[in-house]
Amino acid sequence: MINIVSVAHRCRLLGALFAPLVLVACATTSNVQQIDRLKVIDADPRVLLMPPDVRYYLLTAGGVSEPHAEWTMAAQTNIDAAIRDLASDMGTDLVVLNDDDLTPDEMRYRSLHSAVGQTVLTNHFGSLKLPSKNRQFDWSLGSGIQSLAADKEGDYALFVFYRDEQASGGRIAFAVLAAAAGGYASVGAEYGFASLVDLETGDIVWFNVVTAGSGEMRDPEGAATAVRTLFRDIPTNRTVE
Amino acid sequence: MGITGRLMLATLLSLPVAAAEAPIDHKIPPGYEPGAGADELGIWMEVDNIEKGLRESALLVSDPHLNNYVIGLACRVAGDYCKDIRVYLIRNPGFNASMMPNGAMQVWTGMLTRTRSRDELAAVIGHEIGHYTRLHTLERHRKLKKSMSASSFVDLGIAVATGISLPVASVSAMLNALAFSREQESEADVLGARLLADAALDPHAAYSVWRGLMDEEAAAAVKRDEPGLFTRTHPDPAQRADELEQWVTERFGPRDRDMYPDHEHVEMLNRHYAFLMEDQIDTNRFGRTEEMLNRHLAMGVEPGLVRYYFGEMFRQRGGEGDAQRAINAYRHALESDAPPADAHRNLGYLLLKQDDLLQAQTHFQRYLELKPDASDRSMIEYYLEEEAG
Amino acid sequence: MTSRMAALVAATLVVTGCVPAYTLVEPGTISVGNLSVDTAGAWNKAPSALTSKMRKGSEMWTRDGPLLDRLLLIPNVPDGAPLLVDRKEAAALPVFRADMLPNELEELTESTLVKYFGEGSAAVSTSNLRPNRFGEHRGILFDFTAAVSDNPDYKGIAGAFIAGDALNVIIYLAAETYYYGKHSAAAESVIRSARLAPTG
Repeated sequence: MINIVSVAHRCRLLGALFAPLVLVACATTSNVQQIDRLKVIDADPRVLLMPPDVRYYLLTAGGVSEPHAEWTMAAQTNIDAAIRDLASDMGTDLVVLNDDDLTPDEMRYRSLHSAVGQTVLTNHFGSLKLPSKNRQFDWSLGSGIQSLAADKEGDYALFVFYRDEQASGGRIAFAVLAAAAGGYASVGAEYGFASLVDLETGDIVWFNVVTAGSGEMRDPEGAATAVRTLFRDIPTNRTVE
Repeated sequence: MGITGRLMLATLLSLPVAAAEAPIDHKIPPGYEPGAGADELGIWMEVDNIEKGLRESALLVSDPHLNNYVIGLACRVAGDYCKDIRVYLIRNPGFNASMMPNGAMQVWTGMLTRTRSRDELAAVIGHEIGHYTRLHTLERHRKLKKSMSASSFVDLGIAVATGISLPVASVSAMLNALAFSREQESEADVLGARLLADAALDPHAAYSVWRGLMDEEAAAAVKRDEPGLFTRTHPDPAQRADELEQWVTERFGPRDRDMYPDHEHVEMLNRHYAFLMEDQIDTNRFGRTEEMLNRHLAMGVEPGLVRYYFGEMFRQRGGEGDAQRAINAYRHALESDAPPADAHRNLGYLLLKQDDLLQAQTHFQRYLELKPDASDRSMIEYYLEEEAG
Repeated sequence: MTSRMAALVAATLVVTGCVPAYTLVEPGTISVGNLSVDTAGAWNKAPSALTSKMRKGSEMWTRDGPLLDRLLLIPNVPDGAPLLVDRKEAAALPVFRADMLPNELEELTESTLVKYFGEGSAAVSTSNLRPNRFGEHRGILFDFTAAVSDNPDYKGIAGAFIAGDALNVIIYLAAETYYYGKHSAAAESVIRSARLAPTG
């Protein structure tokens, strides 16, 4: 007879055994890429950058994580600039959406994307895989997203989520945690994801997860490195050399 | 109330009037923004994010009439602070209003069903503004950060703001963790009452609103772990209400107006009653619902509506004799000037249970006549086609 | 840590039953407690670690992940019992009573859904209550919408019938944007196919 208590106990022992291994883990990115190149259209494809959700936390000696305003603002400014640079390198025309000025439709799709993003982290990259999917990646926001595209004449939407120095907290963290090793250790101080959505089909054509060591976003150079890591292998409109 | 509890009484008795009147005043001026200190700025940034969540919350009430009512009242109470305060009306049948350190205030729809007048609603809002202008909200966030681990801070902030996906018990536990000190509550009481008077509202509502909550608490069937804000975070409610009454009476004189009926408040409830009460019924907390309905009857809320929800509450409670009580309540509702069509339907269902098919069918028929596009038409027709056997 | 080591760790945890995992629900006739349902496509059954609020014998299935869509199968709820588990007995869960009529079963499910998401975190509205036959038993179907804080808006359909004084409920809900449309036909056919499993 299987006793729940003993299973839990055994699991904790195993967790303790493996935790050090997980802590030294340094896998940086995991990636899903559905297309190699962006759509070829007359002009450069227009990419709508949804307001990036970037936050810095200060991990104090007592293990308390404080939101750090100056770092976050610096990181936000740097990441914005780095994304703009990268977008022009990619051969796209980037439209940055303002957080305080989203239409109800944009909010609705941001909310849906947040659920889809968490699902991808948990059920695709994480340990809670969905067997019926057979590891196939087919998450989408649906073609209804065309209404959003039409409004701003966008071809793609780009979503960015990034956290630094936050040990845990929030469902995203939990998802990444689960992704690392069934919830036994923190994945480290930095994590985030970026995803590219085709505004014609709603399909997520590229999704990249960063779990550690992507770069120091508080200075412009570090932010550029971090953005390159975060956007590794993102499809571009340039001929691959 | 002024200073705290018994200490205040002692002060009143032993000190000259001027000293006893030592004013508890706002700590921040209108238009306040935090300085460059990383700590306060960081907290504002974090709560700005929580506020963003409120702004996009699926539970944010969009009805302009209801929003105007609450926001207009909050602005009136806030006085000079009106521009600093942003009100978010959240669809939640619990009793709560709270402010964040950056001036974002959330008011739950459960406040609308529980307050008996504009003045009482304004009293709770004024009390919360007092917490804000005395920087209690900021201190609470600091305290919270000290007491919580890194992992729970963010969740906690969001959970308290929106109550996301957490069982009632957890939210309640967090409200406990977040409790203001008794002294802070007293300061907010005093400031709240003063704001009411300044806005030409009744300062006596400052304590009568808490007494109403105490009545509801006493009537609650399931008490344990309910997020009853008043009892959880405000110790000694009866004593506090008494002391506040004394302070208000000494400061502003005895109550000189009758609180009932408040036509504006009752009109607001009549207009949105089904929306508000359906959410309350879904809590399945019928002890509280019953107390609330009795209050609404006394206030003069449209009796047809109140009787109908008495019927709903009795039916939900389902105790000995409740079926008959529900039948009576629906019948009572149907005698009113504005009987809700649903009373015919739900009365019909109860009559079915009593094997009175003919009478049930009469009411079902009437329901469909009054509500020809009812979405449950096929269900009702199913029973209309049934033959008495 | 190399990916091989990571795989080893993961494999060890899975083999020892430490990592909860979804299991495949193949197309066909499936038994859930005393219920039988027919599925045309594959579903994923959630591990019990993810369904702690649900009664023993209840199951949660999903196609695209529970945040996006989920099917709650709740068989055999006895008279006087709630549809969920409330270990602290503080949630004031509504209880099923065997003499409930269609409107009451609809209200019971609505109130239960509010408690499922967390009281105060969700507002649920039902509509289109209609009769439906589940095998030999008369029952109901209805639609609902749920606004849940910090989640996309959900839309859903539920079916319920009473058999031998016990209630059987199947609830499907999915993000109103895209996912409900994607799966609702499949979900509705599972719900409509529900009947008591043949005994003996």
